[in-house]
Amino acid sequence: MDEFEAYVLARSRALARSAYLLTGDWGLAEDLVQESLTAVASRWSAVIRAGDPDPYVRRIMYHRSIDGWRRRRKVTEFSLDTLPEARHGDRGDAEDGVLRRLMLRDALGRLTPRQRAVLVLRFYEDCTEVETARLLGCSVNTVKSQSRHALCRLRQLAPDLINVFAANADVETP
Amino acid sequence: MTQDLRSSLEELVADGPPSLMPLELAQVAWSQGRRRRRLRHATAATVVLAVLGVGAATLPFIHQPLPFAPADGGGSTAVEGYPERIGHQWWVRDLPAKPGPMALLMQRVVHRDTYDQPAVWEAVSESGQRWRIPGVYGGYDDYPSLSPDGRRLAYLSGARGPYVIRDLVSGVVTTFPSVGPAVGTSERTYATQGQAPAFWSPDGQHVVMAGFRNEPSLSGRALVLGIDGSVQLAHGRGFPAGWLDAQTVVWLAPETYRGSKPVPVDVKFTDLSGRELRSVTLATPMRPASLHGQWSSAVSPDGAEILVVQDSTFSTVIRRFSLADGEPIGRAMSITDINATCTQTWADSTPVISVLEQGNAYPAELAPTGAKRLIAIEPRLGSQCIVFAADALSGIRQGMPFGQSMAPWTWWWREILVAVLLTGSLIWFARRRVVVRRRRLQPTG
Repeated sequence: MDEFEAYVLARSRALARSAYLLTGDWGLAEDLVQESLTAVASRWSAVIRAGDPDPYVRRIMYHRSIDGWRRRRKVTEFSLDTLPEARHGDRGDAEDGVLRRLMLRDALGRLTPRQRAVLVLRFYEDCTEVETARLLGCSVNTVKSQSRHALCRLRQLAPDLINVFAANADVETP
Repeated sequence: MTQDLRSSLEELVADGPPSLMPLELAQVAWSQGRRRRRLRHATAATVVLAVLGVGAATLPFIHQPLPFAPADGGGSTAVEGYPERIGHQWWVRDLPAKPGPMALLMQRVVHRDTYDQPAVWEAVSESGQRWRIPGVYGGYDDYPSLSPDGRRLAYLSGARGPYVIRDLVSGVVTTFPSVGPAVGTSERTYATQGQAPAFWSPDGQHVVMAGFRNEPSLSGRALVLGIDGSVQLAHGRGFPAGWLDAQTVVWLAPETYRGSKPVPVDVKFTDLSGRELRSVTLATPMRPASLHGQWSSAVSPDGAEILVVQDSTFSTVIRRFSLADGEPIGRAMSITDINATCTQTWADSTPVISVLEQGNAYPAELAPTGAKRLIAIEPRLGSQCIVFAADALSGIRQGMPFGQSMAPWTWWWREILVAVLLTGSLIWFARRRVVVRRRRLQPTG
């Protein structure tokens, strides 16, 4: 129990951030983290015998976000049309930052769960393609294609963000 | 783009998680995890116990008869019922020396596609366990029989005899060296008639069957064998039909054939030597050609009635007569699919007949509404004749899963269950291996 508690204290915030990117809602993210930690707690002795529990926890969390957990609670989606700021012509920097975050969250919410998971693992958690493939239980080619499709879809869903990203040379056109 | 995307994602989560309380989260997750672990262990234990239980109950090779316990040790020495179903059995062994009392004997056609249709006789316990009885004529002309309590089995032990009575409880075999089959037994004094049923006396001390003395005149009509090894030749007319009491044999004896007209049919009562004690004429005349002789009649266990099976061109008529005065009891019943070349019997005061269904026979109770199936027999066994121990039919029908259902899958439910369990186990094992392999490949840092 002590080891588990220490692990949760050390890693729960980082896990919750990843979960938020997967779910788009802090409440759902905490639920997802708790579900994952419960699953790990039920096999804690076996997990720590195998070494670091973090990869196991993350694998459970990502799998649940794609499969079982996703079926129970739909990811919250927001439409920018409902936000008055989106229609205003001139905005301050702070407003721009908020709007960009909202647009990104909305765009992430419209990706498929697997695409979202690939993006978060690759671009937020800095996993390599091989590590991402192992965590998600798929091939490296699948990770590559999902990643490419996800980025392409992001550009379609959030064209305003393209301006932000377009200056970068490694933007690929599928 | 990737750098910008990363910084955008980090920016997106920079404010949170706003309400996360790690300590409470850890406690709740641990508590729920412990509950889930216990549930998993309990489920696994239940599944293991269920699998072991189902395996032990269903795997055919485990399902062996209980070893016989001697009478003074509390073991049963008499049959107390009969099985509700008789299905396939992966290994049918020869009848051991002391299997315990049997409920019935079943004749099975082994190969239908051959001309002579070789058959075997099997002894069946009240739980439905089957054993093979060595045959003489390939099982086709033999007619073994069971004593009323199912304890003794009488049959021809070989192609040239001798006739034997086996005690299935004590293992004692009473041999009758002077009695052999009707074919090729000139060296034996007496011969049993082929295809003739044997009837046991109510006290289980004697068995009577159609037979004769091997001499030029071929005298006699029946042999009365005692479990003490005695042999008596009973002279009489007609065929033995059963017993009135422990010392009186009942015969069905139609008068000599006189053209196509029905003739009176007598029922005669004799002592063990064939001396006639009295005679009753049945109220309904019949044509001798419509009777199958040795298979046409059966006396009820209490000696009050006689059942007569009469074949006509399109159907078979079953009549019951009082043995006191020969008057008919109830109305005659016409059964289309009766197996008339097989002995009929009684369950107390209710006739039990052999009915054919797609070439296979099954025993049926003769209810006022028609024949009512007593035992469901798997069609692929090719059952032909069923010979009961009298006490089995007056005992309890041993209920079994699926009762009288003849649906094909009900005969194979054990195999289906084992296949499902094996397949499930293989899938679980394969998935488990994949998971273990992935864990090994997973970086630990």
